[in-house]
Amino acid sequence: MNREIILNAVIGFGILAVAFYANSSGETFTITLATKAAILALAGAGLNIALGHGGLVSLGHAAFFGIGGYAAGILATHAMYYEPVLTWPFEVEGTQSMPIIWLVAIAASGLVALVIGALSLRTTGVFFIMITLAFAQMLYYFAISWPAYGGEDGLSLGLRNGFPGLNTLDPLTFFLICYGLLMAVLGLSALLARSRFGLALNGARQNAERLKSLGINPQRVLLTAFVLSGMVTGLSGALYADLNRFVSPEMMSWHTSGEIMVFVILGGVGRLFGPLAGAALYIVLEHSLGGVSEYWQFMLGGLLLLVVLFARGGLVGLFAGERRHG
Amino acid sequence: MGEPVLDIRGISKTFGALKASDNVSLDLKPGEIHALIGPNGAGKSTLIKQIAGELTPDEGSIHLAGRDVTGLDAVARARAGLARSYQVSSVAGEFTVLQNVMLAVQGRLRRTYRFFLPALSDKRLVEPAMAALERVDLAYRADMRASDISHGERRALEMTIAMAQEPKVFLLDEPMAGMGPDGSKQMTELLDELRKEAPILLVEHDMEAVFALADRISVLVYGQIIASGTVDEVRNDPVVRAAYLGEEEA
Repeated sequence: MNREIILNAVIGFGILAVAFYANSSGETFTITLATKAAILALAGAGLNIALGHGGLVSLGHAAFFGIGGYAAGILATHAMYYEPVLTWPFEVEGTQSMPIIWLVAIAASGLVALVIGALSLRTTGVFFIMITLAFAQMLYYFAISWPAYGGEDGLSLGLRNGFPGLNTLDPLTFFLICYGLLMAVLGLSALLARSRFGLALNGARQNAERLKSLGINPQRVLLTAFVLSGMVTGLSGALYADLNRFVSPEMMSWHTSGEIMVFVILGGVGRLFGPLAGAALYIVLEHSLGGVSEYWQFMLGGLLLLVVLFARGGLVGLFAGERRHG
Repeated sequence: MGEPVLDIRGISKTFGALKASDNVSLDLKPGEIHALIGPNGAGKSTLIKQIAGELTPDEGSIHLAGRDVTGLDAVARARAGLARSYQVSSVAGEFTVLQNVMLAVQGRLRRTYRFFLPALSDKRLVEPAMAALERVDLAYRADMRASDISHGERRALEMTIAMAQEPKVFLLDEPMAGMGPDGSKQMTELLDELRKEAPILLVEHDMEAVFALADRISVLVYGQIIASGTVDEVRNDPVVRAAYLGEEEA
């Protein structure tokens, strides 16, 4: 077994152990933190498909995170007040069932990713960063100015949404749902990275001109990756809304996009468990340093600087060495 | 010799005041190597880019295997049967040698949107890729990162990628560039073999290789073809000697 697999197992089982230990000792807040780490890691896992494999530096992934969140919030509040979401051209009821909410979140964020991606992928480099940022900010201001769903104040979900056969109000159960989804997505990401599509995607990042000369359209490969990436981050947004039972435009702000990118860079760009390592570290820092000083992000900035300067492979790269393909 | 596989008819391309291609016509018949030579700045790269579909000519047309491909982009031309190699090796450095060739096979098979099966255990990719690597004696480097192999090996990899595309036409941009005498000799032997599979449009500065391989030579100077013919015809052409060969031999 190589070191990366061992490290992944340590990280994966580590967070699981934290949640179970916290449950047995009644530390609900710690379970919530573990759940938050799993959800944010899922957001990062989404970005990692586009950024890690496709080299697409998207500073707009908060848009998908927010769309997932609002999908959960809108469907749930409509169900709560027995008001249909749509009455024309056909009636759509709200729902408080997680599986349906997830599907809607994935579909909606995938669709938006298709539009944003199709337009943004005409550019590269700094322009790509700026245009994805601009799209996310557009959606952010749209959410702020949309009074039907709380505008700037956001939207409260009331009860947490349900999952058939499970009590989602139990913190450990909700953690396991999020953790299970994260592991499923990471499993699929691992397959994707090794597949023919993954080969073409990593090829497009390294040498798009060469890909063209081989008869493979890099734009289309990158757009597909961008859509998959947006879908995963959208799903994480729906979970985040359920964790907090609250959705606000803040989920779509550029701070959020930056944070998602920080998880990926801290953990290791393109590394399977990088987003989980990064998100977990971020949350640990937030709660340990956050208690010491409200300027903890200053220290986070310093750490990020060190990682970028001296450990380009992030935490995973630091312990498991350089990245390999396939 | 049959119908030309690649037929370039009167293409022109202007950048501002510079006529990079001036009414260039060229063709490539089955089984032949047609060498394109010319001094630096003659417009060879611009011509290659127009043939490969990276630049669109202002005028003229390009036919590949009887089909007008003038309006097609680089992806579509590759699919129509064109394989091009680059003057500066253009491989994916993070990938292994094998993965670089597999990507070429994948492009030929046109099945990229497979998300679940590992490519490295996909026989339809690995076997043709390994077979191509064995032809150039590079199979023992299959698992090395492409950025870690030597310059000569990277040139060979560049050729292997083109071979793995199983094209109708090879468009080779200075395959001998930066190679030692031994490397050039091996490459010459390989190209001599390769012409049986598909004709080659060879852009090359190594005159020894060109004279050894070419069935026909065209000379490009200031964007214009100033001479075209067999090796002997071109060698003895006074205009060519003055414009190009003479300078080098002096």
